[in-house]
Amino acid sequence: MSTLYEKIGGEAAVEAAVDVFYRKVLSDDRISHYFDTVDMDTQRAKQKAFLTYAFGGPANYSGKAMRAAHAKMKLSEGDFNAVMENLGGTLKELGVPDELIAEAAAIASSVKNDVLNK
Amino acid sequence: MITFEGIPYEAEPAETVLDCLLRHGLEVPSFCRNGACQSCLLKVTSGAVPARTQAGLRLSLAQSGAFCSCICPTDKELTLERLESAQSYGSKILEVRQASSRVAIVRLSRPSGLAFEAGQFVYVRRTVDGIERPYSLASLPSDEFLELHVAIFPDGALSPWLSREVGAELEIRGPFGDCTYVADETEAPLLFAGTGTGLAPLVGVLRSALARGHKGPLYLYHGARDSNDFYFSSELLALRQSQPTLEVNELSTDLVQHVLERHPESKQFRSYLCGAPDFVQKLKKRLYLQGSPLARIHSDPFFSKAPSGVTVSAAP
Repeated sequence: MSTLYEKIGGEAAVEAAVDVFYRKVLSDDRISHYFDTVDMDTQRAKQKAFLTYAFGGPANYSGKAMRAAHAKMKLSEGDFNAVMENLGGTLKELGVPDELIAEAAAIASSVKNDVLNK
Repeated sequence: MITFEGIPYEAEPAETVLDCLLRHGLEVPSFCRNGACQSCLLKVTSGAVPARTQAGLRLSLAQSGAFCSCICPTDKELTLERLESAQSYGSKILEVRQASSRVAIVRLSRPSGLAFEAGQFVYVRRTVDGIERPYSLASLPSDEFLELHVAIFPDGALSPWLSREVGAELEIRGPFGDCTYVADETEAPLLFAGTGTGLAPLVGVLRSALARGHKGPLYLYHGARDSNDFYFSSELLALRQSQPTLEVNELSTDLVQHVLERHPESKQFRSYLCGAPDFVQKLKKRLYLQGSPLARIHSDPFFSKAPSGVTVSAAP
């Protein structure tokens, strides 16, 4: 039995996905303004940690840290959905099968309440 | 056993560097705990850390000893510091040349112990009152002096003094930053784009590239409000005349747009961007979206993560 992380392709898959994903997010007019003033190198590293987590990989993502990181941003349901869409689009573009995309989306969705500060 | 900021700490078996320091009550930021997010970077000054703790780091960061403390074991002797720590050196103002109404080229004595690469920056500290500001190094390590390009703010805390008091003593802390020449790719096209005295680190990297016989094309863009602000024209012209692969552009129009129109394909470029924060952020983003990897875009971090919590707006 291999894990989702192994099936998707492990660290190499994350490395391949992170720039595709981050470029999508930065080009998405619905949410790109949240990234106008952040340091891009730092943010890319954070996106990589997020993708590792969504791919079921070894990332220690605590709800408390996610909450603290997003608390002041006042994000909406729409913002969260935009990120999810970009995640799905990234995986599709990289040829990941639909059932694995669904698994990754389910993991990513689990942080929703923390990100939206609910 | 690890030594952090000069104090030894006992580690427990199988403990990471981060966990050990946290257990002893030290404050070290962390997030993913998996060596990905780079929140927990520390610097090793003696001893060796495993290669995987430096995977994915910028080359210059890794070379400076940075590593992810959250995945680093404590089974070997390590001497560690925070990333932003650096030594101080005594220096003094040797020479000042007024290059335009707003900019002076300042030469400082070169401290013998200071190891740096052209294009990095240092904090210049006035000894009497401790006021310090960051300045990039436009000169080569082989030069007998340090060259700074000082934008003179009439009400500034340091710049009027720094551009006037020849002979005055000061301290230098550093070096920092990753605007440096990468030696192992002599064929790559290099893009230099800067506004105002953001030209200084670009000149440093350019001089370094020329000194090491760079073969690829060199594109330099200097942006300023009007023609009086092109304070380095004659030096750039001299460089261009001696170097057929160098193209120099001085522009008082929209620099971002100009660079993107001229270079719609920039994937293979190595880019150096310095100057006004909004300019740097905008061009960096556009080059990244054009397909350039972030690791090939070098910019100074003054505005986003200045060392030691010093907040600086748009110094060179």
